Amino acid sequence: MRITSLLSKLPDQLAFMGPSRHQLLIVSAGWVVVAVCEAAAYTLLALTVAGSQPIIAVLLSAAFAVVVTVIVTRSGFITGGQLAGNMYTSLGDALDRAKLSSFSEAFRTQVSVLAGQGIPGMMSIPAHQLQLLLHAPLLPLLLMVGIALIGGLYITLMAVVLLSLSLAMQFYAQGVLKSVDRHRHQAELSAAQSMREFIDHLDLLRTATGKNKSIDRVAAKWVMQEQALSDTNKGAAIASFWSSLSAALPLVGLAGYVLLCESLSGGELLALIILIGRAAAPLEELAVIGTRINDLQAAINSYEQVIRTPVLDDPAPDQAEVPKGNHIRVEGLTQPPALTEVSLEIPEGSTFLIRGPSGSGKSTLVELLMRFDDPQCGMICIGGVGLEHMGYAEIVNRFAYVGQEPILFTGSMADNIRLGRPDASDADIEKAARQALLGPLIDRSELGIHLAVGHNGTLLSGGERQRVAIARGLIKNAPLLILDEATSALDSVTEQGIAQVIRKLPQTVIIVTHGAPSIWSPSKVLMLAEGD
Amino acid sequence: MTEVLQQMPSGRVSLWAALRPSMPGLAVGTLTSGLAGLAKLGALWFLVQLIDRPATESIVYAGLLLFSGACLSSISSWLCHQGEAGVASRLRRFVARHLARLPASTLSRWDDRKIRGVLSDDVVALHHLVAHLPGEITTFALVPLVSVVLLLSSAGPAGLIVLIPGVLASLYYLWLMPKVSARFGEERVRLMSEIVTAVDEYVRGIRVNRLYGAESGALASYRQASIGFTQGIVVWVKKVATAAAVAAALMQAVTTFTLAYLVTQEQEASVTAAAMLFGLAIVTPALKLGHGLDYVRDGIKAIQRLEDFFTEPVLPEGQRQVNGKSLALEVEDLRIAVSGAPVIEGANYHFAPGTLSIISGASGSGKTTLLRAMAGLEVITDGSIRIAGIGMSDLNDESRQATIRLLPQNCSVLEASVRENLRLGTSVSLTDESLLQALAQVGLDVSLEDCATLLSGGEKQKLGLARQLISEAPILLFDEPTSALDDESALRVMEALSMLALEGNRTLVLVSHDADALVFADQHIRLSSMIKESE
Repeated sequence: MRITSLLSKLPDQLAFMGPSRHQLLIVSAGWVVVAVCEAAAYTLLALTVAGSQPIIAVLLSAAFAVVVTVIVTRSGFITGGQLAGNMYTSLGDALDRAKLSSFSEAFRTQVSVLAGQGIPGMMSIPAHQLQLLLHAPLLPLLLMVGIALIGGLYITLMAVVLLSLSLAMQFYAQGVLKSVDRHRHQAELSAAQSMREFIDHLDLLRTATGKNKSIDRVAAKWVMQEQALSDTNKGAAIASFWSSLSAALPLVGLAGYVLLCESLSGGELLALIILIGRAAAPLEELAVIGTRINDLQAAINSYEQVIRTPVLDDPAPDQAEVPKGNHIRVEGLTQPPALTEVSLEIPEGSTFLIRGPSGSGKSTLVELLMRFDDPQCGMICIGGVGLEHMGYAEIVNRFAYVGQEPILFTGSMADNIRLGRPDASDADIEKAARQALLGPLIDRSELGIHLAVGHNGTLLSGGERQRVAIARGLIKNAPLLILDEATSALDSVTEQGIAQVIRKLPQTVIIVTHGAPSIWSPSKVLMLAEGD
Repeated sequence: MTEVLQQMPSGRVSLWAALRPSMPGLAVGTLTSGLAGLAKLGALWFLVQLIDRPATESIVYAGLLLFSGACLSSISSWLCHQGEAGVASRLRRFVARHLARLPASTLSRWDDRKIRGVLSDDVVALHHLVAHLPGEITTFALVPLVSVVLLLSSAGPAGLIVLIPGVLASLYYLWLMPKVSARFGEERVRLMSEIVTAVDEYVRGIRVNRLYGAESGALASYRQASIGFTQGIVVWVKKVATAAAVAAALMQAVTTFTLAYLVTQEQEASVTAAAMLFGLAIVTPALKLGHGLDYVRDGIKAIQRLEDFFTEPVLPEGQRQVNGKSLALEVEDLRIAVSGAPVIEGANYHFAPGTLSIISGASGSGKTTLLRAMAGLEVITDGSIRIAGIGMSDLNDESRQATIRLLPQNCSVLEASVRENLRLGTSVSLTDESLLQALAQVGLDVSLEDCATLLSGGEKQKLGLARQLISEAPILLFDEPTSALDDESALRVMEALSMLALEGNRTLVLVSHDADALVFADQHIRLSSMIKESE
């Protein structure tokens, strides 16, 4: 049965996410204890109603049940919070080390949904879901004891039959729901992806298809999502009918049986009604488990998938080698489709230029130098040490990179430049900005370097954005500076100005460009041919 | 002629338009929910009778009422879910359309969080409000009222004592908890939003973020926000959750039944039965208050944000159409101011069919703004832009899109096949051959099946250019079309564009800082910056 299989797998899956199996088993045991205490309280109450028992026993058992419930609920909330915290940390670690090739738009949506809905949803597992899975099935079983004590064998048998029938109806209802709910999660993810695409590419969509049609792509996904939801609603309504019916069945059935076949006093009948009523109540909650388990399992699967994204192996700190100097040597580098058997050497402090037509692998080459990915074959050494033998932090510290598409974040120009060196002072930032020929922009604004760049930098022109990215690269003062088509949006005068600044820098500069190489005065030029 | 932005009459109109079609369904759903509750109460009444006096009718009526209650419940659930789904689906489309019609300068002021907020989070919050509020009003008003009447008539005034724990717990939920929880709730929502934004920014800017380390930037704010979030949960548990758990426990059957027995132990079993069953029937709906009324507050805030959003002025749209294969573009006395600051002043240009014009100028001189205005994506403060004599703002969207098409600066592509990217906004009847022809013209040697995001920067730019070549629009605008191309490719592209202008008799306008492209220009316009630079 689905529930039992989930129950057996759940502690391992959840333990994998953070809190020890220990903690989760304690909370689970807690819910079992709650079920026992509650059953005891109801049974004592029923016995008192049916015959005559000391009232004090009833009061004590009720109070005890309440206290235990509060304790377990609270500990469930705490464990849930810890679970979420651990999952967020693991998510952060996975993102930090994942291979660059994993970061597609689908991945981005998956991570976003996980962070915003998946993980928070799992917080409720110990306090609510475990309760549903453990307390709900146990209570009816324990209450059978009370029914037997009051009603005798035949009534107990009847109660068992009725409750089993009721449970069967609940499972049927679950089954209906599950079969219609199948597509909803996928449809919702697909819609979320489309919405992300719409927000990110609004400009492209508006200019290419016109304002009215720009929503067509995302609307198509919405239609599918709404269809899936409509199917789920139908299933949910049917399931709700069967579940309401199944909640009523034991009560009416047992009362009818007692009426027809036995004769009991009013008190005894009431006692039986209490017990079977309470036994049937949790079964109704079980009916809703269907979709919740689906969502939960989907979220857990998504989380596992993200955590298990391929990462770059880092050598252990004691095994990591430290490079001597920053001389770069590449041998037999192959990375399909663009690079085949590329070899080169970049002496420290030189200016190295890489040229070639579109698609010849220029950007791929520099990304491999920075170990954004591992090559299919070949070797890259910096300072005599292969990239995979040095700690990742070593690589990060050595490189400053300015890419083709300047990526700016909403905030001030200073914030964006400061990313290059977090401890930089305002004076340092201004110096780097002026080096990158942003002087006119700074002087023009009354906020100076703190001027706002707008949503992802759109308040600035293309050329200004590139210069901010260049300033970010300059301020890091790293021994290896890479400029990958970093001046493509600049007019020739500005580009020459930047080239002059770069020429004067003492560090190794690697320039990828399709423009005129002479302005950079390179010491070496590498021509990459198509498919080279 | 002054262009005036189209103003939405009131933000509330759109919200109401989204809600109104679902109102009948929701009303009936709420009604049936109330009836279902009453049916269940009726069944309980017959059970109490049964304990008093065994009679077959009581059982039969109880059974029938429970059955009809189940039917009504299920109908109500379906109607309400369908209704709220309808509201959500209409609302998101309104929001998306409104977003698509906002001026470029407005959009650049907003961050991702705000846009995602209105398009997704606020719609969801409103949807929750619509979903739960009507049902809860019925459940809290109707059923408890009738239950109290039944309780009083069966157990007398003493029966009301049974309600005390429920009342206490309800007071807690309605009065005390919102005050304490509100602060935590807001903080939690804020941190959650920060987490999601930080994750987004990290993944979007992965190259930058990976190299510039985890001490600052997106990953750092992510870690900070997630730690803050879980710390907040722990504090919340200590301050709020425990008390909430106590309140929930007070409303469990254990407490109600025990109290009911205590109060009625001297009387007949049927009185005890009434006290227990009706007492529980009143208290159980109050358990739903356990979810708190946060969703009401969140829903109201979402309504406010959506109203503000819908009042943002959109770009003007008219009814007129323009036809023709060769059209002239006229700019007359154009003035564009963004946030009060003038960007373009006194611009007068004429772009004739069969010509290629190039606009160049220093960074920040308003080239992109001018091009956007010509494409109908920017607000015109004064003056006019006309196509074949018809003002830009008088055209309808379809006609405008068929007539004038802009290729923006940033070479973005959709994560889809090359074919799908090329087909974007073009006529469905295009064959693969015509797509391949366009690719050949720009010199892009890729298969139509390849995923466009795997292309290099230059290749993505060529893809956008190919799409422009396929389009049949008489006027084509290009913002820095060769910035990512090497000299040879740039030359090839300029030749293709020049030929397009000449042989296709189209009107082409390019913004470019590429000096080599000027040789292809029939007209060269130099824009100077509006802002005086100190020499």
